[in-house]
Amino acid sequence: MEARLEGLHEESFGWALHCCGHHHADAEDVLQMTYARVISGKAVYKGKSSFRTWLFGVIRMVARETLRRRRRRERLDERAVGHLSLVAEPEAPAVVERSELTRRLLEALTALPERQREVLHLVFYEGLSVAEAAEVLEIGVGSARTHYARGKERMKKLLGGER
Amino acid sequence: MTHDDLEGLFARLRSEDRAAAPDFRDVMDRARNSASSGHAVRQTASWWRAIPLGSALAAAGIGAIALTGGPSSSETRFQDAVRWTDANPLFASVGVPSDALLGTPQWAVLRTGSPSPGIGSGLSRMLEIDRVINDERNNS
Repeated sequence: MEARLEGLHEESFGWALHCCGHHHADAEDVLQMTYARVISGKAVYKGKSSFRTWLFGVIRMVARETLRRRRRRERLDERAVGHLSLVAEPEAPAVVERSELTRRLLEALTALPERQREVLHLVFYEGLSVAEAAEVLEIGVGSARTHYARGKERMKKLLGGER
Repeated sequence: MTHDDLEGLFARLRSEDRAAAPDFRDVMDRARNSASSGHAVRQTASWWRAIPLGSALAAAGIGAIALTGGPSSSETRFQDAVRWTDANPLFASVGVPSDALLGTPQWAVLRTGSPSPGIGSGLSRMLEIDRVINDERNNS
């Protein structure tokens, strides 16, 4: 199992980054928690889809839980003001060096609805088919195709002159 | 902007992300520790980096910390953290007691581990970290 996780590690990190709004530390946490669930048997691969699409589904679920917890924690931090500022999470460190082109790509992606963004990432970035993307997102293939087509058109308009 | 152009941009994004990907072994080691703790004590990269004391703890030879904190649940989580630290002597637990949330600006070191488990080394490490925490607090 570890060998399979290791083989997909970089791809998984890319997907975790996407699911965490490109927050590097959050993505690392999400990956850690995902691996913990897999090796402890809390998340079990039953062979109903490819291992990769199953793993991506787990990462997405863990990321959603993490973001929900973070929002709860931020509300608590607001109550605890001064002394808790010591543990308040700072701005994400600039771990990922971005080129101008990729910065523009990320900006354009933020203008898209979440589903379109997710499908485009899974297809263009991770190299999944639209059907596999649908499995990860637990939506129908027809719906994924629509998100894919609309997202792509929108991106073309947003990025217009980029070459 | 063609389909190929878009693919090219995503490929570039992917290559930048991969250059910044964490080491698989590091992530897996932390995952094993989380899995073996058997409960939800946080011991994750973002908390570790977020805490100004991180570097001081690292300098003291402690690989990571378990941080507890919260309102009514904090006592339970504190006990969890202590139990977890007992089982993982290379880790320290630092907690924010529940009264901190009620307005007492005080940090508490609940328990620290040590590479050589033992009351003496654990205690000296605890005092050392307590001092660092106080320094941090006074400087903040």
